[in-house]
Amino acid sequence: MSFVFGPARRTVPQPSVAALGMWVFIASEALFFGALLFAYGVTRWHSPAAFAAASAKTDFWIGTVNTAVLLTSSACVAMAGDRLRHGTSRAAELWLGGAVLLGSLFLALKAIEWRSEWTHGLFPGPSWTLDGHPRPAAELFFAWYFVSTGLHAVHLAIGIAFAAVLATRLSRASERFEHNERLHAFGLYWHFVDVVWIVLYPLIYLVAPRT
Amino acid sequence: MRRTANNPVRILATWVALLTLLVASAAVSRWHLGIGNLVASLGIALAKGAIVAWIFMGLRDASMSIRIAASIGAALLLVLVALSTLDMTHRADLAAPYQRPEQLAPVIEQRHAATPRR
Repeated sequence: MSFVFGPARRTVPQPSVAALGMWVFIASEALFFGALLFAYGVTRWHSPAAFAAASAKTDFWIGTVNTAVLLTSSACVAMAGDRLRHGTSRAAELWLGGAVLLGSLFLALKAIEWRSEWTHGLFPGPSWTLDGHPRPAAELFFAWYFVSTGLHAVHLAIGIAFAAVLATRLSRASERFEHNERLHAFGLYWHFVDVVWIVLYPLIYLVAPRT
Repeated sequence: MRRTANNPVRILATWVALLTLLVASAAVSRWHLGIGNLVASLGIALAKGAIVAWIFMGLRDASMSIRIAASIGAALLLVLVALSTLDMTHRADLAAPYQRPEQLAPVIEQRHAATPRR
């Protein structure tokens, strides 16, 4: 075996404990959201027409724009990781700031959508109706919708706070190695939250053709 | 051969691909394709999720231990779905708690009718 000493090639570092731990956490989160998705599948299987009618009441454009916003935020986080690997922590800070802004925009749009659904009486409760008719399966759709999007929003809010704290600390050069590790682990979390929304988007907004 | 980490060009290309898939997903929903709408929207969502996991989450460049951890998560999710599906498909339709009393009534009547009287 021979060793060659020289400039290190730009390769991916060996898995850190933080990254491995985050992947295990993501696996447990996948089971958490998986149970919710399965509940959705069973209910939709039993009541496809009610789900289509309920889905038609959701705001297709806000959902689609929000998906684009989250996909863009994921690209920002990936760019932050790339910039930090190259030692430009200022650029990494800016990309992380972009992710924070986009994440906040997502939550703001979601809040507007929730408010509209609340004012239209779509939040489940006593005497719930859809277009004046009681439809329990459609009510279940909205119960699932508010639980799923609410849990997703909580995860995203945690990610935004995590990103904001990380962005303010990136300039400390003495902790550069730790920052790389933390940013990588944070990026995994952020992208996972993005993947959850990618799956939720067609289940909420694309149940029936939008003509 | 060890692959290199993400670079700006790859990140940009991935982002463009993801947005293109999103536009495709939204465009398909404008047509009446029957079951094709469900297949297309879920298929595109799975493709987008796989791209994010492979490129942005770094599974493409990850070590074996990371890939094993991710695979175990996916495998456990499949077990959850498979066993739950088995349960749901072999269960008699029961009145669910969310159903209103007027919907429960016919089921109750049927049961009473089926019960032999002494």
